[in-house]
Amino acid sequence: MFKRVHDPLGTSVAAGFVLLGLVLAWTSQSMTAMGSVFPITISSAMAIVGLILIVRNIILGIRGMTPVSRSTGEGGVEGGSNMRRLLFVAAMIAWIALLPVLGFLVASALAYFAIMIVAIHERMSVKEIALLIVLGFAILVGFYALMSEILLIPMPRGLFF
Amino acid sequence: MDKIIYLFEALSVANLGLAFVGVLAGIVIGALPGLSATMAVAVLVPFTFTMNPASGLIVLGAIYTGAIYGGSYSAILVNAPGTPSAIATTFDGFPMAKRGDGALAVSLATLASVIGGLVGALLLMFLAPPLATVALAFGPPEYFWLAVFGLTLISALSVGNLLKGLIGACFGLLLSMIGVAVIGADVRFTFGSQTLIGGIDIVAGLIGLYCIPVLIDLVATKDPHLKVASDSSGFRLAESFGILMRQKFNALRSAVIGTVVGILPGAGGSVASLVSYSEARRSAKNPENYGKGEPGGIIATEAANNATVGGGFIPTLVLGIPGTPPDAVILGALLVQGIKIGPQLFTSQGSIVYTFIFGLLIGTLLMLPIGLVVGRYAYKSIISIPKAALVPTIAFLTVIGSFAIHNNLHDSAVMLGLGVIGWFLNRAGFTPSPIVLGLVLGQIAEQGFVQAYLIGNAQQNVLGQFFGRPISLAIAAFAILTLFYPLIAKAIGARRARKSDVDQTVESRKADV
Amino acid sequence: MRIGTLLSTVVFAIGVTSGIASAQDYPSKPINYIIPFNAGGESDVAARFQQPFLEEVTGQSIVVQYISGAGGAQAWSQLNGMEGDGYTMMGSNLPHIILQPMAQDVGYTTDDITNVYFFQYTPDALLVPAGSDFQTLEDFVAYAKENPGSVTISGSATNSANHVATTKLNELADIQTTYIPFSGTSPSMTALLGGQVQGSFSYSTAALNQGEEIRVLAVAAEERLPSLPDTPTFKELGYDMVGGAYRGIAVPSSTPEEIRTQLSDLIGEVNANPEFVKKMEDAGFVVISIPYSEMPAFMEEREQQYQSVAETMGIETSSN
Repeated sequence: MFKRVHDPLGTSVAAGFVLLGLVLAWTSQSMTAMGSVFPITISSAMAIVGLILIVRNIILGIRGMTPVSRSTGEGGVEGGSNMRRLLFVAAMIAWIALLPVLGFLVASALAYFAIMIVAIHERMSVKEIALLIVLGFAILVGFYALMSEILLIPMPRGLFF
Repeated sequence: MDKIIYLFEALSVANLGLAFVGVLAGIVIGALPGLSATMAVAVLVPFTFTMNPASGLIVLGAIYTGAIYGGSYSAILVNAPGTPSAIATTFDGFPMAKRGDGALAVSLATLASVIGGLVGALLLMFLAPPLATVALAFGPPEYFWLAVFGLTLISALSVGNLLKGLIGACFGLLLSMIGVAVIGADVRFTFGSQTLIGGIDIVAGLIGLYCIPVLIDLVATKDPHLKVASDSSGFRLAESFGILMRQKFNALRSAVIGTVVGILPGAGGSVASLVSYSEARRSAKNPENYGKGEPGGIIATEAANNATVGGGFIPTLVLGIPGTPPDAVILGALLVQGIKIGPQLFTSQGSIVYTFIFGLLIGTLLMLPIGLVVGRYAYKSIISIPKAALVPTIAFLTVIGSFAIHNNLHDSAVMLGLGVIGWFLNRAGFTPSPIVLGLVLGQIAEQGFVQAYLIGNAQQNVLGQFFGRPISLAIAAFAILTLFYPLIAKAIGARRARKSDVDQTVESRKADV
Repeated sequence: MRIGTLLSTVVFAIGVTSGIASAQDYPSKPINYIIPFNAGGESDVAARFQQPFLEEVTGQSIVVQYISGAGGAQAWSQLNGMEGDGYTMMGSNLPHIILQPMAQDVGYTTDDITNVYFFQYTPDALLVPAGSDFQTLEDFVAYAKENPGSVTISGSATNSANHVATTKLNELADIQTTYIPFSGTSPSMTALLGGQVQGSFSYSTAALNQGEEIRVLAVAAEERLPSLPDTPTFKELGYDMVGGAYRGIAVPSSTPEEIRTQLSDLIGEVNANPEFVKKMEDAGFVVISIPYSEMPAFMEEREQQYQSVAETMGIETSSN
């Protein structure tokens, strides 16, 4: 039965939104009158539109519509390595988490080159790799100087710098 | 024209040099996501204290206008609006760049920005005092309807997927409510997290929702980031001019919308570009192309957001009320210099004001050559840099850019979190633009609504607040028109098609004879 | 070139992290002055006024930086995590640092903020448009008495200094007005000038900026302001109301006592400079001098004041 639902991924995400809408609408009730008008209205609206989407997809599924092919390019790139995607996100999380611990330059250098490795798809000569490393350091130091020395932004400092 | 004498003052070699450096620095800072015009202006303020006031203002104005324009580069080339003003530039700019038309898109953005900037500055010069009254005519209900108008763009951005677009917009609106509420001071939807108590910054949301998904998919495959055009040489300037001439009404209308919205404190460049984008799409002959790489979309948003520079200065200089955040910094700088703002400024300090406006005009014109050269360089380096360097560099920019908004790592965490959510939602068919729209317009809509309700309640005329004010009604009418325009256009189109069929048959018969 | 920058950054960073606070030669390097708000606000403008004078008395450059968000709470909650060597100081604002932790958990408590000096305040000012029928505060109060709840007063945010002022006036004059919170001083002022609301609570500084467009009914200062000589104070009109937004300077709690006193003395030196006072007063600020030694008494007095207002505003004192 569930297999026949039109657009199963979109439908299950919509179910998540319905749930989120209900939870938020419920938590909004403890707020002041002024502060709760919008949260309650919008979260209920989200839940209702989500339900409509689910019902429509179930009906479409029963009528035997095939999942729509993605018409616009906004759906993102299909295929490719999910492992690389995961590693990229993990490197980003580590980057932001380590900034205040290791300091700006050290954390950034680690994460920068980690992401670089994740993004390399073809074999490279030693010369190319050396060039990339030099370029990377130049970008990191350049931006650090721009931000802390010219724009006077207080940079996160950690164990190192 | 007694104002002309100030033109010569603004044209002094020193001031020209300052404008040049200012525009260049502004473009670079604006192009980097998170590094904003406000920041650039704030950093420069102490230096301007050592200059004479007019020169100081010229530098500040040049940086500001350059930064707003620079935001279009990253919007077009990496799908990350460098400033919130460039949100709508990603709608068509990035698709154009992806298919290999990046150079064209950058040239168009440059031309449109210059036109927008000129219109805004000219209106500032000639019509500032009367236009300042627009800022005063806009009360809470008008802001509410303006935000609703902006939200109607959802129907256009999610053609064939309206339900998902609506859910996304609701999600974005809810995101805008996170943190301590301005009205009522409730702490909303933070779930006890210190990170969320400051709310979700719009810029952090933008960088996350637009840029992180692109990066996630970029590492996954071997494909290059942008397609390289067959003839990647040149600015494609002649072609851009041709397109611009065909779209001149679009450009002018967008520039005027941008100026007017720029006058409204609390609306700003993002709202201006969204509203003019919506209008451009509604009145276009090919609305279905918008969002898929239509040059008209870039012209509309870039003309509008650069017009907000001049527009924003109108209430700043006339009323002493800053129209945009960078204006607030400039206003503070003027105060520290001991210059009194207000209606008398244009008469008592005419030399400073008009030298400044001419400086703004010159800065805007300088944007054309500087922008074309820098833009071409930016495009070339984006397409020629290997992916292994491009991905970590953009990732680095997203982290430091979101950090630099408030010099706070909370925003970086929010940015990344939203980016991952955005990637996943996009997979399920919930595109980021409606979410961003909700996030940008949510605060304006909510505050306008609740304030209007409170005022109406005090005057015992709540309905009058929402439906009894002419400007409100006009904006509401435009909102409804935009919402249902696709249906109306279809009906008109169908009738016209029938008619032109008849015409053609008549003509072909004539030809036969 | 690049290596040069890198090296200088390394040296700079090491200097910063290992810089041992030494009271004898303090200050011996640039001082970071963090503003917990965006550039362009009153806190920023006041800091910009101080900057050249502070640089003169310290002989060091003062670097103004911004960490904004959550009405200042983002910066204040980070304050004690910063280096307590006297080279990091942060703007501190009342009533913010008292009311914010009172109303909710914002990541810091009032006692977490080590204030070394309060150097100025901007008195609350009740404003009406220049064309308003309310010529005096008396007109305003009389009208509000006849029409309870119908007079609208705009201000910046909820539980803010403007909100406190409105609540206090309601209480002292025994009237009922409707407070309309806006997202900042500018939108609030725009609403007033556009006639969307009938009155507005703002600061003396804003009152000066708008000049002839508005009429200031009264200011909540001890005595009339030099910059607004024709405007009465609430006090002389019979309302015991003195208040506004107080701005000072705080340091991380790890800063040694000696340095705190030294810093307080340096700021006091600037505050005693007549040129500085003149500049501040022209812009609508009132210069006050509450040095480190008088801080506990001052804070206690303010806390008590806000405590009572907070109760009428309905802020529940949270357990922390």
